[in-house]
Amino acid sequence: MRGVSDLVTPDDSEFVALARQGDHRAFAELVRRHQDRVFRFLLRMIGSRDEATDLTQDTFMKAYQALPGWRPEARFSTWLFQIARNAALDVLRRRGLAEFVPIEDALVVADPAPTPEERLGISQRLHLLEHALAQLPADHREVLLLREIEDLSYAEIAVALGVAEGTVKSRIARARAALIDTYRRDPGGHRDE
Amino acid sequence: MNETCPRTVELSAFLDQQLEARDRERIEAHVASCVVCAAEFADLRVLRADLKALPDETLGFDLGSVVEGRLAQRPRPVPRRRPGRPLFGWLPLGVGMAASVSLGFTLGAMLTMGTGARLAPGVAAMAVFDPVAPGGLCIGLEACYARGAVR
Repeated sequence: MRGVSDLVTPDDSEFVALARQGDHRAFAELVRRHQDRVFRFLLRMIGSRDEATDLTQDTFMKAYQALPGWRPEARFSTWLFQIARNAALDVLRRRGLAEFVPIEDALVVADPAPTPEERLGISQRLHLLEHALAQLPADHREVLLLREIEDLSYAEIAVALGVAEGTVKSRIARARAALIDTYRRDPGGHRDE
Repeated sequence: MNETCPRTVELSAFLDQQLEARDRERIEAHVASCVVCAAEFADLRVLRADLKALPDETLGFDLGSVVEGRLAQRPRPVPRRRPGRPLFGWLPLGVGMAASVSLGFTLGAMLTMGTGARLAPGVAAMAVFDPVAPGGLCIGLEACYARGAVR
């Protein structure tokens, strides 16, 4: 049986094949490859670093248990996002926040009186964008994160979310419009510059 | 914006290069000539650039080693039994079935051949199957009395 060290530049599917045979080192390598992407996604979905850290670990443990069910037709990363997304929605449901959060009520600008210079600052703008993103409904937020941050295609997002590609297309458009609208209402948003 | 303007969903798909070639050319031409749609498309592009510029959050430690350690502590999965029984798996069941059938035959033979079997005198005297119930009256039929009994 080949081991991890025998592989030159293996892709995920080769590591998955080894992990399925009980090679823990191969699975650990898969974890290293994808841990930051999964963590980043979970952090912005649930907003808590500690919870996102725990959930990232849980995601990989669940993935290991479910390895026999993985099919090479789907990219391993897409499959991981599917597991991570379900875990994030479970957390949000427990918190009772999976439902739509009215933007008007949710948007509270961190700094009430920024100077004009500060308003133009990139870090300030990104902070506000991060905040506005956190106020989006979970179904809008997840689709934007997968598309804009993780660069998944519409087809891959459809697999991760378990919906049709047409749904992904319209949901991304609505999410973008909602985020721009939130940004526009925000006194520090780029639309007012 | 007028009636010929594309909807936001088309501009969004155009940004993602997810349109068919013909639709892509149509939207491209429209955005180049429509101030309203050009502004909306510019908003989408700025939003994309800003989202890409968000801090690149990282976990900060080697989760692979942690997971590898947790997996090593788990009990090894028990291999699943193959479907169907191996040859020796049927042996106890076969022996049991053969013993049951033999016992049945023996008991059956004892019943059918029982008329010729000689019963011990003590057993015969019990006369459990006497045609007259115990305490019943006998009106002189021979059958009422055991053969050779004193009337």
